[in-house]
Amino acid sequence: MTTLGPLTELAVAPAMPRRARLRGRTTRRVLRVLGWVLLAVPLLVAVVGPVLAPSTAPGGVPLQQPGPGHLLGTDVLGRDLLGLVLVGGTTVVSLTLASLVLAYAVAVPIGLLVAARGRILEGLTIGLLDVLLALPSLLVLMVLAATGRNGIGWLVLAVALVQVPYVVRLVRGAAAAPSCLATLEAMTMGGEPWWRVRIVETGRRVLPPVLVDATTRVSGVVGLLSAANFLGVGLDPAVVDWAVVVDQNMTALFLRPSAVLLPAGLLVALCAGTNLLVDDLLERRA
Amino acid sequence: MTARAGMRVGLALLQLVAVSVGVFVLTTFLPGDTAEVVLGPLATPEQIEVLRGQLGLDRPVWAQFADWVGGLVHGDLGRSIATGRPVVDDIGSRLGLTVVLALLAVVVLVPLVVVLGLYGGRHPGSPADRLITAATTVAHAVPDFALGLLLVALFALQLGWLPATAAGTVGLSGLTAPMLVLPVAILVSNQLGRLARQVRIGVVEADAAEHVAHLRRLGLAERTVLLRHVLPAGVVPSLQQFARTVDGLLGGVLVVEALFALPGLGSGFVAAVQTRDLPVVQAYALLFAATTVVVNLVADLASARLVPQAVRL
Amino acid sequence: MPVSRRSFLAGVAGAGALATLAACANGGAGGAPQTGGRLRAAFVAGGAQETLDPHRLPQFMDQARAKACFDTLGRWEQDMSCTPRLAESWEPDATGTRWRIRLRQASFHDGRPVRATDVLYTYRRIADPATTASAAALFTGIDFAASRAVNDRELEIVLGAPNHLFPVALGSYGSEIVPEGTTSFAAPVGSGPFRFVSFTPGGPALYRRNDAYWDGAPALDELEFLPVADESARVGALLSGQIEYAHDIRATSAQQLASDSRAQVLTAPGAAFQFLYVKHDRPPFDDPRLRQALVLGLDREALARVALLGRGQPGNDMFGKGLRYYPDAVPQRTRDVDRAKALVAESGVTTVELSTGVTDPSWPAATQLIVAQLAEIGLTAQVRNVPPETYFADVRKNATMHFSRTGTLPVQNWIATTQLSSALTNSFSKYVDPEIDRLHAQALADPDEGARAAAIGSALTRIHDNIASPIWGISDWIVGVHGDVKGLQGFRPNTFDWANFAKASLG
Repeated sequence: MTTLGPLTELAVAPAMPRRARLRGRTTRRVLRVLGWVLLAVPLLVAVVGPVLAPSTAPGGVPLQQPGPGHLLGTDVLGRDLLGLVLVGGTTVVSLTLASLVLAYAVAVPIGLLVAARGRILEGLTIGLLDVLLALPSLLVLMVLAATGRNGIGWLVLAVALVQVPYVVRLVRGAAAAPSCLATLEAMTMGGEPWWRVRIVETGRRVLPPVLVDATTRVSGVVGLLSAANFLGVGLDPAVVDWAVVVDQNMTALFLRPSAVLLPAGLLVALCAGTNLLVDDLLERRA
Repeated sequence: MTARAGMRVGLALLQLVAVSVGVFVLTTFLPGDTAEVVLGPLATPEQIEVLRGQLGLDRPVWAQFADWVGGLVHGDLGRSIATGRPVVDDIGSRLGLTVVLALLAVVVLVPLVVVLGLYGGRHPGSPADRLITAATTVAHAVPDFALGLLLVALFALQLGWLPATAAGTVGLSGLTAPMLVLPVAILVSNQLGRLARQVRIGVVEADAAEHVAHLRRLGLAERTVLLRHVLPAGVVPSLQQFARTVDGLLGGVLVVEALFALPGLGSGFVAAVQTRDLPVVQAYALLFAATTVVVNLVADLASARLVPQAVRL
Repeated sequence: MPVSRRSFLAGVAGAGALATLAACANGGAGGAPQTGGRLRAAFVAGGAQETLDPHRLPQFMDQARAKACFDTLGRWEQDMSCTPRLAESWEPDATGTRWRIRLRQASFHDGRPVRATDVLYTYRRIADPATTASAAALFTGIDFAASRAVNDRELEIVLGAPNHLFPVALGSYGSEIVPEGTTSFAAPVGSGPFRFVSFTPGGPALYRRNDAYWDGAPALDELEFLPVADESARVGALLSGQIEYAHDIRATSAQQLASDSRAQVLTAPGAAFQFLYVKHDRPPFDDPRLRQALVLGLDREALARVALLGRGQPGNDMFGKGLRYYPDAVPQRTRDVDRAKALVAESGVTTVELSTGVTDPSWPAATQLIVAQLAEIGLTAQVRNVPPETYFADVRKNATMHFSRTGTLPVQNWIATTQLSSALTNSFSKYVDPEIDRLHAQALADPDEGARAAAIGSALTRIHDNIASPIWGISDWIVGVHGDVKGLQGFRPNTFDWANFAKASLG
């Protein structure tokens, strides 16, 4: 069993006229390039930026216009905007990755196991996760903040924890989808051991929706990180991070728009780029 | 199926108890108490002590929790420590607003998601599909508060078409339709991308499934195939996501409420936590938990209805 | 009232703000104020637990509402001196223990006249600890058994100890006169410029003009207070015409409003004092060398420029700049990195804890700056974030170094509630100095104004020298109002004219 199921352009292509298909290919190419560009810019900035960045020490004249000393001007704290943009990607990229990896590393095995093994385990696990899900995440964040646990580790843990119940449910749902079940039943009848069918093969089959889910979650996680800052429960304000910079400069949106729009644009590019590329990748794999 | 649904409800009740205890344990970690918050920054430690006595806060927290649970058994959600008024009064006015906001968002979302998802899933790779995906993706990636401020700047401050906030409204009283346009637009734009993508993928898969091809070969009308077979199967994978969206909307949308001065459940809950008002916090948590449990139950039941063989309860 | 050098200087400092005001208030000058209309004023509010009790005022909004509905006997001027208001006059006996107060002819909204017994009832209620009144400390010195109403419009208040500054209490926020016997404030009856119409706790409060107001009926028909917690929402509501008055605006928004013809910016210079308290009673700041190093290590100019965004001034470790009794002669502390570094090295301390929060919008920025500035003198600051709702109670107990802020108050009141040894539980620094107790008592007992000024000045100087309350900056207080609104200016919070809409009009 090597094919990944019928998620192919070919399978539906006959429904489309040739011209539309051609146009589709062009758009696809354009969007693929766009996706690469959108993703590459923030990633490149996040990786290389810190090496090139000028100092981001606060204390200069706030909200300066771009000039020789500060190529992009300064933000509300009198920090060099170029420096902020170059430095601020590392945290957000690594935080997002860490939270997602943690969430999926925990949730996917649970989801598969739950879908595979009896109803009691399933009921119990889902019930327990629903409790977790029903605990207001806001309260969790506020308690963490109020007790001084707003370090990076806690934030990653909290953000990952919030994702787990949803991912488990998604994996379970995808594993139980009809297109999946039919082939698996055939395999089971063919005498394959349950774990091979239920974990390995099902795992491969739920991969596309999980991947899609993960990429949409990139923006969700980034959004959660920036919302946490908006609510005053996020990262330490001294951490230079795009989301934090956006939050700190929001009040000066109309005075120095670039201090908000540049880091916010990079965040949006990061999320949008990931999503576009994964869409493309899924189609190509098919 | 009925027995199982009964078990589900029993489980749900257990979950509510677990959530209530969980929330109680969490709130005990919060520093400070209602007396400090109510009297404000100018209060002296002596005054805080006096009020603490008046409000009954000098008793141990677990005893206060036990009181609250005792009242709950008799169907009484309790009274706010800070105001002395019944908890239902405080939640009631906010609930209406949150429900209306959630309903409006869902009413706008569902047709958009279905139409966009179905179109994209039927024409994957077409220019329109890709543009839809790109646009909704970008919309989803813009943080709520940034989008909110930009929309306010444009439609309220620059063009003057819509009010910038709902300042001065209490629950639903004083609320007008124009005040809800921007909040709903932000909620929709935030959720649209994710849902439409899931429906699209679901439709692509369902459309290519063996039994659908078989139905086509049998000569069933394309319309019937699409609406009766492809769409239901295509929607199932996104039902969990949809449940999450509805749950999130009903749990109060804090950023949007703050930006537009909308007195909904989200800001009410935060205020209750900030006031350290245990009975109110507990009541909110129970309400949110019940919502989550019910919404998920409905999603599971709907999945079972749409594709009976797929989902075990 | 003679114009002192101080108030003249304060006027100069305010000139910049007035120029901005004039630039955007087009056609503001001349003409009688237009009458009628509803003015909507937005403040941060307390939520569902709010009441209209004028003696319990935890938030600025509570003060503003109390002011609309009630009157105080005196009024706090911009320099925090107190002049008669609902009282016609007051005078002490030679010892300063017996005060004779004569009332104006005024009536409550239900038609009853304001009588001496109402005043006595009010002050007794405020002094009662069970009320937990905001101004309690100012009235506990009254001997209520000995105080009496001479007749309907005259009363004699007897104090337990001489206090020539007692009248300042009569102008305090939270000393609003209520009718005798009032216990419920569900539908408050006062003698103020506006009558109560409706109120939802945590929601709007509506008031209507009191045509029978003794000081002349207000120009406005109606006055509505709206809770809007989020600052950008207040600014948005102001620019879109949903409100006419947005209280407490950030410096960045002020700059934005100043360039918008739809709004005016009202600035009260030097209105909020920004502290960086350290605890004297425990390590590490029980070491005087470390305290000295701290105040020498702060770059106050940079803090005012960045954290206050230029809408403020450097502080000089004494409360009350610009207010009555402030000793202007004490030289401004400036940065001396080398000496600070040497003192830190001597003390042997390398790490300190710094508690901060979001209670004031300038603190996050100031925190970053101060962490960097302390690093330059060899101190690593570990930042602890404290949530706003219990900030002050928390830092009073737990912090060794923390931010704090205070609005404008009479200097002697600030000393009495935070610096005296009798106020130790309330103190943020736990600094005890018998000499300050003595100077304060002397100031109250001395009938001579000059001697009083000298005593309070000496107390502040000691506070400065002993680093009892480091002040890194003094921020302006900024309010945004609609372009058409007239009759309002930038006033310091807690003063009589601040958030007072009795003379405001919509054109």
